[in-house]
Amino acid sequence: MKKMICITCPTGCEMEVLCDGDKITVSGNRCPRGAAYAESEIKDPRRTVTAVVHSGSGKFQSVRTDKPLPRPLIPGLLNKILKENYPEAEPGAVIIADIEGTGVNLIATGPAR
Amino acid sequence: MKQLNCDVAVIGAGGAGLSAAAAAAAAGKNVVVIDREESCGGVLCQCIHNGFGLRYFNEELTGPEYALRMERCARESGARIMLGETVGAVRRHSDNTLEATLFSAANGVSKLNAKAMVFATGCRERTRANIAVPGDRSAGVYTAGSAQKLMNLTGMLPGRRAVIVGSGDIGLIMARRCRWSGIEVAAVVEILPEPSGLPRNIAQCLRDFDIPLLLSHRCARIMGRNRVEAVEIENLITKERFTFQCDTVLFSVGLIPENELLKSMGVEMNPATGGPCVDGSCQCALPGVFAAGNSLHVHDLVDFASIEARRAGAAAAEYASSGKLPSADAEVSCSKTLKYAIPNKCVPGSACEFFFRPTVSCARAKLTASADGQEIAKKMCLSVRPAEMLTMKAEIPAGTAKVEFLLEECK
Ligand code: SF4
Repeated sequence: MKKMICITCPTGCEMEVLCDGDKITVSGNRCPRGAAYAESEIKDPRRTVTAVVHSGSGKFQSVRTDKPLPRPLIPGLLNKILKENYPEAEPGAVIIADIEGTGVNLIATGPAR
Repeated sequence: MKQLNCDVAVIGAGGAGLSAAAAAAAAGKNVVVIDREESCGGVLCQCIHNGFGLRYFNEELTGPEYALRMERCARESGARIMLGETVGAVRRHSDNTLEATLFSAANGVSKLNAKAMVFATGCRERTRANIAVPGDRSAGVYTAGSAQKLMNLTGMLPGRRAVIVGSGDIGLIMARRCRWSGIEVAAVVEILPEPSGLPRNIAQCLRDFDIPLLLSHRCARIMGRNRVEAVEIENLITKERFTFQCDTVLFSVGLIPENELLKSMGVEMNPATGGPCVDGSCQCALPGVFAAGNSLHVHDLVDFASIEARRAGAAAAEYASSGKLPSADAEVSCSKTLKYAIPNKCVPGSACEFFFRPTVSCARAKLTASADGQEIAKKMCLSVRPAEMLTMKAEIPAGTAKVEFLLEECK
């Protein structure tokens, strides 16, 4: 049995997760998204990444992944955006498409400043 | 001097002010929003993390995205937004209209006259000085929010190795932000026996990175000749002291509602919230003066601030039309297990939504509302903690003089 906090919404339900082979039983979640989170957390943990990217001309803007990214890929993404420059884009525009073939995109969330 | 007239003026273009403006403009009023910054959104602009908007927009957004949406709502409803304008003073004319004196680099001094005003001025952070941490006056000591601004609005890093004092949400979010930017985080130190931030932030901002959370510990001293070199931490239970080497200290030790304008107008304040006393339409003790968002009371989520502000904006629009609102004759009070109940007064014979901040922590508690001793509403609250606001809607019977709320722990 594993204790886990659902991070899907600010309610932050405390869940108890029971793994029996491939079968996962979840309790304590107040909505079905909690069970989906628990399953993903055990099989393929993911997080939404937020950061800022630099344009190279002194400007930078805020970005996020449009879906949660597998945790093992997060350091690679952060290293890449720390080293490289990205042209200014409108909020919502894709900055990096299909990160490592996951189908997850990095998108701009705010104006360049 | 430039003079501008409107029905409803909103001070502050953050998550609350924009929402109030959208509601007032949607009611057909001529609305002007004032903000001293050059862009809309207030603190949302620097909150680049996700977690906003689930309640208001039914979608998870980052702060800048929430700000852009809210700005669009306000503009599409017809509100006019004036940026880069600071409100210096507000006074009341004998005909009850309100006059704000504005200062800006672009327009110099100008006047804005309004029939009603909504104050949505947000809050500021408590600092090292507020909690009186002794030691050297070294560089490298920031509030969590100013470090967040540095990183997210100017693209700079505050240091290389940080200790975070206080486990409020901004501090937790900054712990992750530091780690994701290559800054080490030695520990988060919390004076209370339990964390002040949301459980999801403990999980995703600390546990994900194995950052130690030291509960019942305090920051006893900051050391460093020029730059911070170390902090001394005290275990409040064993009294044992130890040091962490670090070059940066971030304080996340609470927020103070920003109400200098309202105070200067002589508006009655509520010591429990740090904001003004208000009725169910967010109107202060001065008619035509409304307050919403974090300057009224510190909210956990911007969504709640925006929802509350919608009510303030609609009421301000109604006041601008009719010159008065139904009188709020019922006094609101609460048990010691609640730090406060907002609003402080409500209108008998109407429905009202209340916000509470508990003083206790427990797994289950019953919240009951009574009107002159008669129970009118009740609900069960799960995992009650001071870090999380409670809300309740209740129909207040006509003729009610006193509304009381009671929060009782269930064994
Ligand atoms: S289980 Fe549902 S309600 Fe609970 S935290 Fe997860 S998403 Fe939110």
